[in-house]
Amino acid sequence: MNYLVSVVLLPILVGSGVASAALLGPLRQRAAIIECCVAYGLAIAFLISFVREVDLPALLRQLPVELKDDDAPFERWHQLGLVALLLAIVSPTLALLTAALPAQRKAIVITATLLAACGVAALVTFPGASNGSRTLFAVVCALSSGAIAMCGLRTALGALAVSCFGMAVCAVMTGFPSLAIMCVAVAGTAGSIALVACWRRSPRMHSVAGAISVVSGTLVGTVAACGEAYASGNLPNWTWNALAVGVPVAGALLYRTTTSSTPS
Amino acid sequence: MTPNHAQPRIRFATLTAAALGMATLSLGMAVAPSRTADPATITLDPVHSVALFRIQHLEAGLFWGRFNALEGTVKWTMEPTAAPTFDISAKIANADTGSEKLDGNLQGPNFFNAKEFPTITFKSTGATAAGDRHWMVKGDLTLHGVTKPVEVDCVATGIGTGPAGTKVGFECNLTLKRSDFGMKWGIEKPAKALGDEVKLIIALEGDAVGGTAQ
Repeated sequence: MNYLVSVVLLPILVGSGVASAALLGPLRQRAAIIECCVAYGLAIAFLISFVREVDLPALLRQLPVELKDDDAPFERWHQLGLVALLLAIVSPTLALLTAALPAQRKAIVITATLLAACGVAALVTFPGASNGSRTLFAVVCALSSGAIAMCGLRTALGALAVSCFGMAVCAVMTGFPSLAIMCVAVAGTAGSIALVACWRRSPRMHSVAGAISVVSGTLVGTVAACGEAYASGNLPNWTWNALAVGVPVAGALLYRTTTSSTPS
Repeated sequence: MTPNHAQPRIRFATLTAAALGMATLSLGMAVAPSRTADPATITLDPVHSVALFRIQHLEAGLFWGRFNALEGTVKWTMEPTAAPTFDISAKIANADTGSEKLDGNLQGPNFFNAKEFPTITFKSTGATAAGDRHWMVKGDLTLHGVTKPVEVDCVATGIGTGPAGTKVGFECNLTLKRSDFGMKWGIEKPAKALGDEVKLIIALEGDAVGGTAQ
């Protein structure tokens, strides 16, 4: 299989396919299904891209699995795949939980956002990690998730696409083509889902606070922390965090401005 | 007249003692292990110690780069038949391709991952002679966090005199597959962007200190 088809197009097709099935299918009036499938589609797109780019053993090496004839080293950036796997597992659970307990939705979303942010910051150790960098990592994930939670579906996906594409450019500039490829896959998936959402509007999907915001924010926060940890060259380190937080915040501001000025 | 037997007796005793002494000495010399020369410690001079590497780019050109300022020591008696022992390291940060951007790429996670694996080391474990001042040196190469046994073709290129004393030079050749060390990017994904086989030419020069065979 052609390289770009394998690491970019295939993840986009699978990720946007899962989300499109919810957005266009018979259950499109159910917000929980859309939330579940969009969040899962984003996480699975990143995961497929990772596995196609780096190989499955890089992921399995981090799990309690016996690998035969595996003498390749564990590299810390391979934890990106583990984070994507965990997010893919958590996203349907979170979507179903918020749908089952609508009265506690806000509390569940805030708790999940903080748990995800603190969890990845504690679990994932990139080179040069310190207490300060871990705190920044958690804050970036939480802020990004929070900003995305304040957007509508299309704005959130658009912000995610722009943020990931920006980080892909940064990854190319700093000598990390694998990270660039994975970012492009997520950007393409988010963009494709946004286009589908524009084509067939879902009247029930007003907010993305929940699985989509947690998955998107945690993913961009983790990519930013990884990019910053491994970056070489002259790119300032704050660029990664600025893209991870700044773009979603700009998206949220844009969304709030346009929705408040639009007569309902 | 009393016969003078005393003098011959003394002579006989002296000769016997001398003969026994000689015999003991020769026996001792035969039994004692033959004395070998102590090896000199050659501390590498980073200015004159480099490793050149060659890799095929896009199945076309053979691209050369180098690791500057190698560090470490070589122990050698400087006898043509005695094999040296090597303990050498190269810093990934010293990779030099002539392009700042390429140097950054090489140090990145897709290649050497300098943030996690900052050095390449080679420690010899044995050697077999392949000619005059020429050996096939076996040792453990640690690259990209993976340690594997390799065999390196080494030649002592010369022994000279510098301002600081005795200078000794070596040249070592080695070909390896980078995929054996977990460096797979560019071999299959993306396909054939970079070759798997890497040729290394390692030029070493250092100042010899100590030893008994200089």
